[in-house]
Amino acid sequence: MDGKIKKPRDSKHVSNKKNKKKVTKMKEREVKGGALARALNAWVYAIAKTGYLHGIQDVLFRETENESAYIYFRMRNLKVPKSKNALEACKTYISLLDKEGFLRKEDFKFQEKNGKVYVTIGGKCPYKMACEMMYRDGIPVVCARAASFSVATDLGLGKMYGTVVEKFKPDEKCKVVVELPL
Amino acid sequence: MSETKIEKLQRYLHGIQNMGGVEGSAVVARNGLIIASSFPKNIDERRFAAMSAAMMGTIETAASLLKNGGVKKIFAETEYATIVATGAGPKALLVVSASKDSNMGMLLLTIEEYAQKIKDVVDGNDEIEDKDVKKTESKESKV
Repeated sequence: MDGKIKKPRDSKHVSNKKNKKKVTKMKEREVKGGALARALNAWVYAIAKTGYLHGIQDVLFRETENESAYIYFRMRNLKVPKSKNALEACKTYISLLDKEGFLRKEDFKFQEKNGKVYVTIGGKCPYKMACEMMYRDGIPVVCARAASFSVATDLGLGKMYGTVVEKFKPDEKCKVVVELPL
Repeated sequence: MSETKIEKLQRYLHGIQNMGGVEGSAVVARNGLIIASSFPKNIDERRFAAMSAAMMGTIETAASLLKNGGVKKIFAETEYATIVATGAGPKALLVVSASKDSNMGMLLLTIEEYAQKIKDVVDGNDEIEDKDVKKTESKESKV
């Protein structure tokens, strides 16, 4: 009888211990993930602010983003397929990043008009904190997710397009224009 | 068929290129993207455009700290050449690289003249100008 009574107690005790361990691990992961996200946002904000203070915000932000993309592609041995136009290049690139687990392609809606690509970006943005800080501090908002379209057009079309944040509404949807300088 | 804006800019750059000593020139957007260029193929135009815009942006920021007003031109004298960058309106820059022994006075005059023409094209004022030219041409032909 004793053994019967003890068994469930022990198994409960063991499962409680396991659960506690799981919870602690999950909490640890959350803390690490949160810290990483904050560090990433601080880094994005720092590039935008440094660029702005030195009068080179567009150049610095785009070049940094491009360089990191090229390095990542080299590390993963990935190739961006060639596209016929900017719209196709942007869509193809977003599908590639979706496959790599960077973002969800469903969060991006594309529309082409007069050679420009209008992108509506929704979903949970990992760079929201950085953009909000830029907005609060009066620094022109540069979108880290949108800046990747410069790489998309460069690799897919052989022509580098610029990106401009047309509407900044991180709680709803942001609007970005991908366009050639002329 | 009428000439596109890029073709027009390319023609202007060839005009600058015809001056003695000019090694290459480019029309660059203020955000550092290349619009048109006449540099030799071995030059990384994309990087050059980005660096030109960065150069202008940095000098403009430095000048504003000193409250010296807007930047008109930047000269960079290197070992073998002189690089001149000037604004071509609020959206673009004209950057020219010329050999050290080129006639700097003539070059600056040419750059100023073409910077104005480029500004008109980039800002879209060239179409109005073209229409005026066509009108005067048609008037002259009637006379």
